Amino acid sequence: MRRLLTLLSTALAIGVGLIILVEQMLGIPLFGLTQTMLQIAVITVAVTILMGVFNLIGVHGGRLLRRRRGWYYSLALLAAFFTVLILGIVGQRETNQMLLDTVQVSVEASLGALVFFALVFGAYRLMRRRVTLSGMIFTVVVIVVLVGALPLTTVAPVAAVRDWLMTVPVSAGARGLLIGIALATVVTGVRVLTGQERSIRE
Amino acid sequence: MDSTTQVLTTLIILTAVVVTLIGTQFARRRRDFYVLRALPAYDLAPRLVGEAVESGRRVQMATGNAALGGASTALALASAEMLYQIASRTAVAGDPPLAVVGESGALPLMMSAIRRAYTDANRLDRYAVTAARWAPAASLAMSAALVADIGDERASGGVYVGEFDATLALPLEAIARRRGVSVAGSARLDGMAVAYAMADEPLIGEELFAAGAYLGGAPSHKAALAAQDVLRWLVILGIIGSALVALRVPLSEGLARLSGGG
Repeated sequence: MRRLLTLLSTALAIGVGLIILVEQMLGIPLFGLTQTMLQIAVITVAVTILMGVFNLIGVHGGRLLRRRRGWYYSLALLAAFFTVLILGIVGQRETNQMLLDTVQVSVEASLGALVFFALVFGAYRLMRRRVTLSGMIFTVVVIVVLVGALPLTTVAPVAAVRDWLMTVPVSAGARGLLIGIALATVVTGVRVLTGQERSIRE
Repeated sequence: MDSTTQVLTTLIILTAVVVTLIGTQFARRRRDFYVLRALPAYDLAPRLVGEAVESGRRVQMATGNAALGGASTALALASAEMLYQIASRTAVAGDPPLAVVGESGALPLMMSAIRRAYTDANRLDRYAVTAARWAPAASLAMSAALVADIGDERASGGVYVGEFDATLALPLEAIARRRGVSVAGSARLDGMAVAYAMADEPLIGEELFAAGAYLGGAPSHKAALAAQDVLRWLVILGIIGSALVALRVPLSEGLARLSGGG
């Protein structure tokens, strides 16, 4: 039975992939199948959101019931979730928006500030852990870019170096990395189309 | 899509198909068909799992905003393969990794990867459906959830492979403070830079997609890497060729001027 399901799911993935590829690449319309399949994909994604919500309730509900470490955070999360849900159901959109603006935005702003400290810690750790040539280049470039971004006339030469760095080596490196990722993406797609990708298969 | 793009894309896909299929057959017959260069991040993964199993703790694995059904589908599949490889090692003696996804579209994929690993190891009794969990997609909220889980679940190490931005710094810093080991890579450039600076071993660019070949060693995965290499060389030759074509006119004018013609 498992083998049959594997075969069916592989055939489905290959079939859908090939139909969409032919229609998109060669511009040959196959009875409008692409649109239908994309609609099915959208519905499936919507179902996964429901799955995610049940997963969230299951994980945090379980933690709360078993009084596991950090259970009070789970209680806060579930309370916030059900409050927003109920407010949404009874049509209190303004209250929901107010909660978003006052609570969510403030919390995220604080977290955003924490990211800065984490990054400084990371730069310190990079130089402390391994003083390599690439690590030193990385740190020097970070300093040049940060100093070059200052709105001071005294650092104008550094700003010129920063501009050159951003336009030439950073841009070239970024494009190289993105091309590498794009090629790996193509090959992963090919693995799905040839039935070699087992995440789809099983 | 214009006709030139259509032709080029078709050629790239056909090349990838041919090299992957032929390469898989070669790799099945000869184990040394494609020798992998050393990647410290994948060398570190078994140690990371070993430490978790020995200390009775769990490995945290997150995929960021990679999900099925969008531009990051291939990345989600690569993350699932990494999770499978990690889970198949923890399945020997430990609890499943703690997989956190930022997009609900990746949740079934990650659940399936952990379940498959534990089924293959005949340890389905240790599998729990809550091993994969959803933390809503806003990057800061997800990073906060990751940091909270590191503390609450006493994670011994972290593997972050997927789509992250600079907020990846938060879980990496939390792991470092607990003296844990981390491997991280992101398809986004800001996340990639943070992973390079803060992870014990970073995964850069297409290295994110190589978990199957390095940790699993399956012939089809090795063939996929070979296909990537072939395509990369074709792109390099294409770039050099087009640069030479673009330089042809100024070069010939310059040479003519040097020889006294202009």
